[in-house]
Amino acid sequence: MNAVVSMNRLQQTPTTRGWRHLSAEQVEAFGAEIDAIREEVMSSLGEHDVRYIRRILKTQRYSEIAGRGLLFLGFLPPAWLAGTALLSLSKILENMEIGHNVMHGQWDWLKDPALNSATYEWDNTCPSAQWKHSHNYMHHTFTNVVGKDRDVGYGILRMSEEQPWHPVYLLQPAYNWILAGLFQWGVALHDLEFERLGKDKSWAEVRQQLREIWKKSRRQVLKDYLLFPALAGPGFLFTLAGNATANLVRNLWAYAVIFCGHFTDGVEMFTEDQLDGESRAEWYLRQLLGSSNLEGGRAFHILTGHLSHQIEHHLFPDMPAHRYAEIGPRVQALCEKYDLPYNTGSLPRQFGTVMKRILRMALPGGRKTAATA
Amino acid sequence: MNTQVRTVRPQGTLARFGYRLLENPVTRALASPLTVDDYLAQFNPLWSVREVRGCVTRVVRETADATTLHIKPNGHWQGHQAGQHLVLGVEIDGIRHSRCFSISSAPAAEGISVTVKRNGDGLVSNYLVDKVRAGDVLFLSQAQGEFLLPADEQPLLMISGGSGITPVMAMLRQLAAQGSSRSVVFVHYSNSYADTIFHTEMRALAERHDWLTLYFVIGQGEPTGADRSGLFSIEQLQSMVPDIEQRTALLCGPPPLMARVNDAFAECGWPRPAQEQFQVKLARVAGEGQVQFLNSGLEASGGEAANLLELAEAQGLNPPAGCRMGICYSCKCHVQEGEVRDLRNGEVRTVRDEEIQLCVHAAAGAVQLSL
Repeated sequence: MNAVVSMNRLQQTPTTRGWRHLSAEQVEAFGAEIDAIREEVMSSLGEHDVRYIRRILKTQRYSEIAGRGLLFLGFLPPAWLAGTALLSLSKILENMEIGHNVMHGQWDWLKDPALNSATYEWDNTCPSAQWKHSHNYMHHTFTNVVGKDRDVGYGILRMSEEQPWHPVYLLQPAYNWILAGLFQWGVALHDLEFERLGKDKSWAEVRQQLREIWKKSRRQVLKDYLLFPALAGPGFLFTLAGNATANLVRNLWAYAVIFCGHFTDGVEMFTEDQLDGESRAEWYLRQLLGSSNLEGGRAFHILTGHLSHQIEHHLFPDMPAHRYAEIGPRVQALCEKYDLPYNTGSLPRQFGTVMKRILRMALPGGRKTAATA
Repeated sequence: MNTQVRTVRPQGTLARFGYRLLENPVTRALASPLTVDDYLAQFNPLWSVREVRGCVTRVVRETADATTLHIKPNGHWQGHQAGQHLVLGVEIDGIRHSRCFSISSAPAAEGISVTVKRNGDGLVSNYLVDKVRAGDVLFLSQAQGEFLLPADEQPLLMISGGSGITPVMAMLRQLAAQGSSRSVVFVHYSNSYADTIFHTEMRALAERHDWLTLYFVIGQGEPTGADRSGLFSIEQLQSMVPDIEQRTALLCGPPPLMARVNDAFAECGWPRPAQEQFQVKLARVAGEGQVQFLNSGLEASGGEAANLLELAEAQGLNPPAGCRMGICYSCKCHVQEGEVRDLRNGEVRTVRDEEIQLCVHAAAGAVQLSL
């Protein structure tokens, strides 16, 4: 395995060369420029940002209320469609632009108990506390480090040539779509870290986590698949179908956006030895090279929870996400200055390269797509 | 005196009934994982199924530096006793700030009032004194505190200084409203008459009620009638209150006044006055950069570790932690009060009753952590 890894390293193309062309001084200078951007935005936070998040909250709450209300008339096809669409919109906004970002601490400075990263619970089967461990800590600290960042394939997909191949991966082009459809359930089970079980994780720990997942997902299922349908009385099945569809739409959307964040063509993967003595500037570089953006309009960015600016999000996970768009061009200019890639493209283009990676990695061996880029 | 009046929507029994209708296991399950309040707040900031919120009904300027806010709480308010305080939250530029204030009104059906004095350049006190308008919504706690009128019938000595007059004023207003005849000597210390909150009302109360004897002790200007000038001294107090030993003493004021009164009472061998003090002085913590871990009773010098997280761990504490570089927010911890340095930009700031990330903060001065 070690031999294979070093072979791949030697074959790295210009798209995956890391930052070896930069001197130690240049690396630190790059870090300082990134720090300066952060400082400038964070010290300018104020009323404008408050107005933004309040408007998003209002849109999300109103669309949920309207969506669930319309589904009570779900026997009328236009009402069912509109209701399902509004509920999907609300679930996407809540998970992506509100929940994910609030849990990153982006709005802690408001000191509003309803937007506190320590207590916010999102509309998802994954308990917030477990999400914050697997995502805020593991994924954002060890981004794209194979063996440390469990978001590299989520323990079930082979997304990097540095993950050893296994015949089961031959099926990943198919079961990958099951993960997409049931994405929130995948996320819910993610922090159990089954592969550590029996090694440095005890059954007792896993049982405790399972209890929390059961408690959270029970409430989610009760609400969407029993209570609201029951309130609809004879329209039980219409509401049930609407809610299930909204959850599915949110799952597929979240899956697509998230997979485009770190698995597109040209995104770099790293090994654990790179973490030794890593400076903050080097951490910035790893975040930059390990992430990729999506291009689109303002509404598109909001619907992705601004994860379309995955690069900026990984540089500044606790910066209110709606500010990423304004700093994107500056980060991109820095990349040009330091001759670093800034991986961005449309959703169809980026998603296409993710699908290609899933197909290629199903087969043993290294990554051919890198050489063609 | 500058008074503004604006009508507000009444929050009556109907509203309370509505809250009950909205707060039950079914509505909680329907709103889950959010709360019913998360939805209600979108329609009216006063609406909440469990939180006390209040609408400012009237703003009265008391002195150049003090303002009384008349507040009508929503249906969750459980009432108060004279002398108690509450935690008042206000949104300034969208950011929530909370501070403690004594309730200056006597218990009554019609709302409450708090009287706020400008505290130097303090953001919150200045906002409350100058910017709050009728119709604004405030976040309130229930009334709390043990600084109350003694239940017996002993004659009283009330000593207050500056804005410390507010809880004592609530007590006087209650005694007056009850038609009490309990003897009260009230001694208030302030900079000047112009600076004295409730000056006119106190004079009027003393004129109307034989049981109340009033002394103002002012720092600047000529005292009138029986009033005095200067700072607190036990001799001066005894000359105003010859029967001081027969009286139960109540005390509220700025920390230096309270310290002098307490010391003098101790020296005379008298019981310590019942008292209320809001301004926690960090000077109580020994030395600069000294960190107090309030929940565990430990203390350490901030210089012993690179950041507050490592300092806590060096004391054998095990707060939750993750990335150790300020990105994951696992180590968020409540600070009672303290001066901290943000290690990312070197900025030093004073925090009070808020949460910080331990891994990217160090002690710049004394810090009190809830750990």
